[in-house]
Amino acid sequence: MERGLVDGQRRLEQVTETDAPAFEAIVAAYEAPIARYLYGMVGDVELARDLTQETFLSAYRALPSTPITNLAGWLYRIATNHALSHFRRKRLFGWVSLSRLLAGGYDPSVDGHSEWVVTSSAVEEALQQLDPKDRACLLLRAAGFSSQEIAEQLGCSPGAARTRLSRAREAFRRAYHQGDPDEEAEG
Amino acid sequence: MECRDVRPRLPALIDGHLPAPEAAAVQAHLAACPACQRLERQYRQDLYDLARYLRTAPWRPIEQRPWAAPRPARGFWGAVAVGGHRLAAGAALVALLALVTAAALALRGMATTPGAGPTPTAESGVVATSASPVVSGATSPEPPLLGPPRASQLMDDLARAGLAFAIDRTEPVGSQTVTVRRLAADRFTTYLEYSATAGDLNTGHVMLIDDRGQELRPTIWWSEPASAGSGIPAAASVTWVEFPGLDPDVRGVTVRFSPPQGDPVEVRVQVDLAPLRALPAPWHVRAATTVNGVKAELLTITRGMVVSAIDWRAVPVDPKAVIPMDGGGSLDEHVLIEANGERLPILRHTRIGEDDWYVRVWVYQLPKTGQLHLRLDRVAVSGLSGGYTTVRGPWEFTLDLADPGAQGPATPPPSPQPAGTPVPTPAPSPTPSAPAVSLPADLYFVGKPPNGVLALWRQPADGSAPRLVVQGKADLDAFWPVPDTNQIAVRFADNPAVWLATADGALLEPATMPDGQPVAEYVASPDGARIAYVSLDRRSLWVSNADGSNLALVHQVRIPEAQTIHQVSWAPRGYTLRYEVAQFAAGSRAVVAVVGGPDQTVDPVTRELARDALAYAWSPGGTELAYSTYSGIYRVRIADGVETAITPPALRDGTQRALVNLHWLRDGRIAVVAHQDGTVYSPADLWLMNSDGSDAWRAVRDLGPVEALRWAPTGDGFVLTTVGGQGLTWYASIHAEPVPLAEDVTLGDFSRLAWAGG
Repeated sequence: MERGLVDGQRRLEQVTETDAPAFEAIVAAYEAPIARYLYGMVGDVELARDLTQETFLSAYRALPSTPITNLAGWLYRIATNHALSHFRRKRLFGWVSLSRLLAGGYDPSVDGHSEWVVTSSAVEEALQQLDPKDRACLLLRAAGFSSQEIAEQLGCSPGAARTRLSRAREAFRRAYHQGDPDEEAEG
Repeated sequence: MECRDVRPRLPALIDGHLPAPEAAAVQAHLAACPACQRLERQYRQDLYDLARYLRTAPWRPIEQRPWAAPRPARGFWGAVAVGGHRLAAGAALVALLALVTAAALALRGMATTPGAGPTPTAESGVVATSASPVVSGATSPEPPLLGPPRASQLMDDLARAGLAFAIDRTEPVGSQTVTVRRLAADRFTTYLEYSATAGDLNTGHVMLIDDRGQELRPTIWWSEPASAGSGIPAAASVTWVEFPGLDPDVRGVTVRFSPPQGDPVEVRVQVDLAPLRALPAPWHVRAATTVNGVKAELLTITRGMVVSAIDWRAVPVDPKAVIPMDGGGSLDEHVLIEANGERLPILRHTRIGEDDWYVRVWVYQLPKTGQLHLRLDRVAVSGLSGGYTTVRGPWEFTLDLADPGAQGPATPPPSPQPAGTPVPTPAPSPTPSAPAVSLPADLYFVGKPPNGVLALWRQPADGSAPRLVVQGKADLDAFWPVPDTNQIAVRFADNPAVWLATADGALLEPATMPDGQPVAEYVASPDGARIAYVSLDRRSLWVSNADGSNLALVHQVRIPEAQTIHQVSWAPRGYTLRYEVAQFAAGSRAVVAVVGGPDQTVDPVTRELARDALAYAWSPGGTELAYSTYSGIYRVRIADGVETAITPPALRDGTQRALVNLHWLRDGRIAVVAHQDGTVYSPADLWLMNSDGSDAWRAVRDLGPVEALRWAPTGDGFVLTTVGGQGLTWYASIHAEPVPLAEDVTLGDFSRLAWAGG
């Protein structure tokens, strides 16, 4: 085998090695925020956990060889990619709103999914009406990222991110306040 | 400003994106308009509620923690000590750890490491050469320079081309005094030269920022002691740092030094990179030659002002003909590049992709005319035996450098011709010339006309320009060709109901069930004899004969408040359906339903698959269904539900991959696209295997981040799209050169493809 190739392969293997305690500290700090963000994206606790798992596995593999200046932004970018990739593969299943579930008397524990906790059904109901990228944009903004960072995470220009963010905020507002007496009057 | 002007600007106002004059006008209006004030409060409240939601949403901890495995010999912090960008990662982590109480011990243990200077080690990718100056460090896994010339000479060369810019400014940086001497730019690389009074300043503390705010970080650097007569104090060193290339339109660059202690120091330099704009576009050579079962392809030559890139790769095309050999020596010993009879210095090579013999060779001073001769004496290919196999050549290419394809300035792709926007209206294609290609059938795909929403296009089989078939007011959401008719069922994003259109673009009527009810999916069987319908509320699936007779219920969801039906597909033969039942908070499951023949009374038999799947493929006879997950590939016998795992050993290495675009070929083999990780954004290879998973091999490498891939009905070739890519790519076979089609059409997200007539 050629020496150059062996050296190159060895280097690639080496950069995939990371220090366990240091990386576990990253996971400990970011696991819950990333999982909650992904739950907001996909509306499924189990799926969000799988995507969180994928996110940290990807980060673990990439960390030593990737230029990073914004660790949080980088992790959310990986998470966003995994969520959007999920939607690409699954072709965007529609959601069923939690409020409708509850109104219909649906008991998730009967079907073996008792872990899920309903905290903000109105928020979720509004989120699910957004395009996945708009949803990501809005959740990233709510998580505290700037439009510049959102642009980096979505792989678009800052201008495009600002446009998308405005559109997402308007779509969310309309959905979230649907049924408000004032909103009805507003038309 | 009126309310109608103010309201669209409110989100931007709240996010601080409005220019000051506009913001002032909006604020003035707000002060006097209670209705707009209410809207503004809503926007602010929404963000507050979303932030609270993100703090309280349910979550479950992950289960796999492979990083808890035994500590490797060279750890993360070792990488931090070596490379500049790793240092940046380390700094971010240090900041993070400061917030994580549990990591306090780790923080103490690492406190001194990030500040350490670069230490040449075997792991850092450093190869010292006998020529001076000595290579001091590299921040990239790429091999460093393999031979002269060095950075100083490169900068001199670029100065003669008008692409080096003197700075000569001395500043105190932390405890040192730094003289920033000059900046130079080539197509791929930007070079910075500076001296420092006490050893080299760690390049983790240096970055460039162009006038658009783009930050460039070091990739490779060298240092050497200052030479006598250079005007630099003897104790000082000179450092050359390589950064990625600058955009030719950049006019100003800021050099920023951020010492471990003290304030950052910035030095600005004006640049004029106009000569870079005159460089020719990349020359896609695509020459190939096969020796000993291995095909070597010369892909692209991209000319720089001083340093040019030659891309090539080698792939096994006939595994039985490959004769492995024992080999030794580095790449540069086995690659010869000559121009007009003289050997060109190879600066370095870069392997592209993680497991492929796909190489970019950087050469110095590629002539503009004459003969280029490239010889590969031996290559190493992967995928034959799990590792690399060295194969003897030689593979040789001789090119005329004056080839028109290599010359002339880079020109933008032809501007798409504006499409007519009447809804729906067929429009002329934006592609002016037809590629020489013959597809097995016409191909439908979803793409975006200029300034338009996603619409349905038809790529003719003769390779001529694609035609816009139907366009709505909103994005096209889904489509289903109706076999043996001139019709296609379409659904747009602003309407959950399906419509029927003709292939020439006329919308006909709503697609309905025989009783007139609108539907969310309308899927005809391959022989056109039966139609499957998903009700508009997605709670039931129905099937009837094409004439509307024998309407029968196939599936009614068990929990109507929580479950919905999606993605119906027919088996290629017989009358078997596959669809998915999605349940809120519980994912989705595929169900298979046998629904009888065209003249039979429908008596559905349904069977649920064991796992949530990423992709499905029917067997050619329709009696089995293969499906893929992150961890494997399975096949299920429809008649009795017996399931068999057929994941080939090569894809069972523990890596979680997106295994997608599954297809069961007519000859019985199964094809699958394997991404390098769990997303479709990573590069992908096409694998072929027998239907029991045996004899799996990587048939086509590095297809890019494949999004959709459809095999031709004949099974000979396939067409694909990539994430974020333009147009389509056609492979007439796994050995054929890729042919771009519909290059001017933007596909948008979630691209879809379907062959006309099946």
